Amino acid sequence: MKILYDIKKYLRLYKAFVANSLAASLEYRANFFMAVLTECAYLFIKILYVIVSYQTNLNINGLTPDSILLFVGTFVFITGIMSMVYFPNFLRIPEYIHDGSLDLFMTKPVSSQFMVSFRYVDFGWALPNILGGIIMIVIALFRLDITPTWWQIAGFVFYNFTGIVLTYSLLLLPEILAFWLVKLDWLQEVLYAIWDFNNMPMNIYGRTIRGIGTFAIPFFVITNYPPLFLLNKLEVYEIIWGIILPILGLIIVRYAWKIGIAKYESASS
Amino acid sequence: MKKYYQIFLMGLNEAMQYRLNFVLRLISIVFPVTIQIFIWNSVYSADKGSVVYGFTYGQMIIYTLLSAVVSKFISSQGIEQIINYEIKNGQLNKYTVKPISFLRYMFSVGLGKKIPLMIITSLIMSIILIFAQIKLGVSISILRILFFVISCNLALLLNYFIMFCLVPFAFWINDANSLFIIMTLIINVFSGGVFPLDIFGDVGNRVFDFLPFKYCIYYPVSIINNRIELSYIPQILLLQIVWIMISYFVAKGMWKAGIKTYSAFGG
Repeated sequence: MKILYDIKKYLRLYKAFVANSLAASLEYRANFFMAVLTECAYLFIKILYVIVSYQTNLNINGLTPDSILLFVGTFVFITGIMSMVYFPNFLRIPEYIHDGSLDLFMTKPVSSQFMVSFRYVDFGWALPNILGGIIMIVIALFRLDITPTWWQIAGFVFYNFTGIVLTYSLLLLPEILAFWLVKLDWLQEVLYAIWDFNNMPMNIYGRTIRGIGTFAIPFFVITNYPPLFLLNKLEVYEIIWGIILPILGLIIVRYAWKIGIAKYESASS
Repeated sequence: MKKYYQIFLMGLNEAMQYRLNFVLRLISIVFPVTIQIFIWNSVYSADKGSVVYGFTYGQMIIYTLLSAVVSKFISSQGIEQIINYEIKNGQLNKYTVKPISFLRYMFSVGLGKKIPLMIITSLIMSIILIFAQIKLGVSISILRILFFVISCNLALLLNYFIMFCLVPFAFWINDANSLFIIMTLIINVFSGGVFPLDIFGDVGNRVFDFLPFKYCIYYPVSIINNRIELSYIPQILLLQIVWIMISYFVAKGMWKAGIKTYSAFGG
């Protein structure tokens, strides 16, 4: 029963974090507004890729522009969730470690990993992407003229969820390197550049890149599996890999965090 | 002039201290370029000889590679954010007592900081051009290369002055950095830094003809790409110079208007 109690405790805590972040973004409305505008500019660039797909009538191994729109919509939606839940926290982790403010989190009676992972929630970056993503997915479904069964919808939602869980480990793991490395900003830049590879369905890339993106640096699994499932194109091994991988990721990241924390020796006086 | 040369050296010195960081940063342009190359490979896969948006396959690949590098070559490297910081923290005071112009100071430091980036991007561009000759079969004359070099340097100046037109907003807007990020993204798209401007259709392109952005990336790359007639190039260069002058005077006027509201908070 302890685990149930713990889950309840963390959920209550997260609710408080959300409320606190919401209050902050309501107070600094100009910042919120600028964040929305910034993301709209990024979204505009992502949509350019869709426009080019339609104009050139791009066909990627049988994926028509309408199905490409479905992939891009899923990518934009998950990007929105990522920038709401993870990004505002993960960006700060190297800072916590280097200036010693991690001490503060370690003294709290909850997991330090939970504190650094979920303390902040951002709404401004998320809003255009989540809305834009959902709109693109709906338009794509109408244009593809498919009425998904309940099973397909459930699978689509499920692989969105596992993708979001996988994102947690894939984006947190490199930040944990901050326990050993001082300068990390270049790594973050490369990381989010790799993230943008999902702006196009993975089928467009050659076999080698697809293999790397599925097994070695499995970013493709995050946003490709949900639409592939919806289109009945997800292979059996992929169905299984999409479930195992997020769990594996969580285990690895948990170990890495523990090793890092053991190495941590605070900063300043 | 001599004092600005010294400031220029100062900027160069600073850039050399963080050389590893910035080489690693250059890696990040490899990714979007890779995605686009795969897109174009798919588009042209049915027929390598076809023409899309008026580009042959070779021209499109050169455009994709060069536009990304040129956009780095001309980038202002965040000089606008540094100026914003100076304004917001009341640091302008220390320049007002010195016998130098703040904008010229920032311009000189910025140029100095750019030198390593300019050298590296020029090297990359040379490699791309050799690759274009050998692999893509696009022949490029020496004359075009010469015009391209001139045009890129004019584009660099133009992009700088466009950024300097935006900088005075730091006097009026709280979160000017976000504005700079948004504008940098939009200017890059409208300059042709993401896709060739031909994707916006004839009407869109006509509109871009009346804006300065097209002269930052699209036209310089079109010179080397054989996309415009040789006889038309001097006109492009001239228009680049005209836009540089216009943006210079606008930037100066905006700065004058902005500095009136400056009240040296903090510091």
